[in-house]
Amino acid sequence: MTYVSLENIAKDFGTTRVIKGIDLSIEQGEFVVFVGPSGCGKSTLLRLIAGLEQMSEGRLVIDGRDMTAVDSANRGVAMVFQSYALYPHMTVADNITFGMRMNRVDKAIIAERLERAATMLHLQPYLDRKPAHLSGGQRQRVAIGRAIVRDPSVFLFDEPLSNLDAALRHEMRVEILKLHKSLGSTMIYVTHDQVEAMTMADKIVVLNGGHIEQVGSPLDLYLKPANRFVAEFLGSPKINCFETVVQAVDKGVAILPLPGGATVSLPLDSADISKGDAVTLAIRPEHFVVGETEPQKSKRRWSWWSTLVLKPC
Amino acid sequence: MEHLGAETLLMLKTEGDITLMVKVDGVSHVRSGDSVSLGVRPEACQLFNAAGKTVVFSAIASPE
Amino acid sequence: MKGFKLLWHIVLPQLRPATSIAMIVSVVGALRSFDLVSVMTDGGPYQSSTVLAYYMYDQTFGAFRIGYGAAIASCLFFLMDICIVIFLIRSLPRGGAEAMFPIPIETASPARRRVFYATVWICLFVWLLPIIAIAITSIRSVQDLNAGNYWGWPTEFSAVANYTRVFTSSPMLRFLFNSMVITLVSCVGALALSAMAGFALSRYRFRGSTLLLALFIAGNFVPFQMLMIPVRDIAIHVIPVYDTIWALVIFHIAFQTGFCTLFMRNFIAELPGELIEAARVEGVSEIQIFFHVILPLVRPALAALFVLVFTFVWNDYFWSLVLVQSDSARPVTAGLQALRETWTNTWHLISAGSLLAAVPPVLVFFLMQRQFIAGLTFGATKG
Repeated sequence: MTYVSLENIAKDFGTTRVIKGIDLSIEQGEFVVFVGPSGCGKSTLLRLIAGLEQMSEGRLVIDGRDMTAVDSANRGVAMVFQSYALYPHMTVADNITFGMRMNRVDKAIIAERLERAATMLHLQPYLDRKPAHLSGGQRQRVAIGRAIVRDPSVFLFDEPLSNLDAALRHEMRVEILKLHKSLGSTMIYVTHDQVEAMTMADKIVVLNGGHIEQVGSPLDLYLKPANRFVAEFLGSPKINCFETVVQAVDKGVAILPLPGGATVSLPLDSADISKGDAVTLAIRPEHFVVGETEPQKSKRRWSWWSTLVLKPC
Repeated sequence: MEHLGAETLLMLKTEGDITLMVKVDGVSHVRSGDSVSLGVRPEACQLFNAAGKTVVFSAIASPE
Repeated sequence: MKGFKLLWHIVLPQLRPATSIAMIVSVVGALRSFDLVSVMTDGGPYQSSTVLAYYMYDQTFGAFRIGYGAAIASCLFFLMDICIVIFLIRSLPRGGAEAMFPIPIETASPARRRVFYATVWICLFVWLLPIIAIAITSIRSVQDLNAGNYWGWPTEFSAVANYTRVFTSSPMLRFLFNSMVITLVSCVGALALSAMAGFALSRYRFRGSTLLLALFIAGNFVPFQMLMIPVRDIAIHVIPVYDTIWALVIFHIAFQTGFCTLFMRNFIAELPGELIEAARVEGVSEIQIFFHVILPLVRPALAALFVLVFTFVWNDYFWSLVLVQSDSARPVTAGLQALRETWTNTWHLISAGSLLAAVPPVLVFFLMQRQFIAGLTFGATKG
């Protein structure tokens, strides 16, 4: 069942349309990752969902309630910022409980939620410290703790790991996923790092230039990209692409020349490719087989290229 | 070439002067300047039309 | 890179937020310079020491060419404001400067070090000379002064007698108390108003906000001597506070808030916006954000402003003359006049009174300086 629904959402900054009509539905408990190159609008889209920016067009529904005109405090969302946005003058405990204290939540409930979040995130030894005396990973956990105690219907993460070093990033990735599992909440996570997207997401949304390129599970996107942008964006090292021209189409099979003189025959699903069309052929780096000798006859289904020279380096 | 331990990245130059990136498992014994032959299964190929839209999906199925 | 190159290419560019504020303060101060000219030279000889503010005053109240004076004032005011606004827009903060650690002087060569320390001591001595003179005068007896012994060793130490007479021959305690009340209330009022205005101007986008900020800046450059008559009229007829300490409080708050707002706006604009957004998402109201997030974080700025405004208000002489008359409302700056006697020399008493009057600002400075440094060790958002 759809839990969060974005309907034709658009955002203009001045005369520039930065979000160009986004439609997306997110299931309850899903971990959705917005990924794309910088400037693709992923953070803006998250801020629109958070209510930190006003939509220019469209509608946002969370859990059956139209949130389009609701201010961010009442959307039931919690946000974790890239800079963590911890209040430097408050202790860890005060940071985590700030929102509840300001909203006059019962003291016993505050204490209980603080206790639960601190246990979950291993923050008990640091509750009396100020953020300046914490490591990057600890600050990140405080920021997450502040989100947890709100018991939100949707968690929003804006590039939360980009300020951490590689080892910590991996650790926090695992920790956020564990959290997702134990809380079962809906989470929307923005990143420019395709490794984070591939490893964390139930559903990846690839954004480019303010619109969605493709939505799907990580492996679907990796193996069946809808277009060249998605194919090139996901995967490291990048997929190999080369321009070529269709040599012939015969009984639903296209013959394509390969560099070095060999050809490859591809069965076509549809008929919208014909002889002489300019096309791009793409092959992932790990889908090659390297052999030092000529191929055996038995492996006829492999297309063999002529000998290649390893680039001197 | 780059040895990453668990895998090796080979940068191959074809006759048309196109550089290909190839990933092989483990440690490769190919050396810089060697000639190697390279194979690819048609299932692994993807084809995009001039507009960048996929017209032939790779037939390597996701495990799901 | 060493020495001047380091200073010129690295240190000064980094200090731009600080230097731009200092520049504004000194430009404002210089434009308003009036008292010294008025007291010491009357603009002469042959107008060689006339400054614009004095010229306006002279034309307006001396030659009674009120319209002409007002016209000069307006021209100067607009010209200056255009310059200052351009300057400010170019120097609005774009991210905080990192802390810098200049090369310690201990590592310089011995000759350079000697020059450095000698320069420091000479500067200090020149700077302190007037205060030293006043301090010595305050412990002299009147015979010394009558005999013309201004700089020599006092023939007789009469410190106790002088300081006692300051309190017995004038209501000095009353004056000090008035000054204290006026200054503290004005400081608190100006800081409270300017912190709120600065928050609004830096964090809300609303129609006319830039114009409003420009007005705040512009207001700083009205030569306030021109406002003497209207302000006096307001204090007598509109808000009947003339000759009470509240007259001074109200107008000091009004005059100081403009400058303070500019200062606070720049400081609040430098706080990371995500702190405020984080609070908003958590359902914290704007007023709570102001009190629980903004105010604690701008404490260093408030401390610095408090010291500045305290000094400005405490040292004010002009408005004390304009707005109050009776001893019951007079602050210490104007009250020192009471120590003057027509026929006898009372420099020793005036000196003693002046030193007493100078004590509170100095105390405030030292107290707040500790606060100021404590504020700086808060730590930033990113580590």
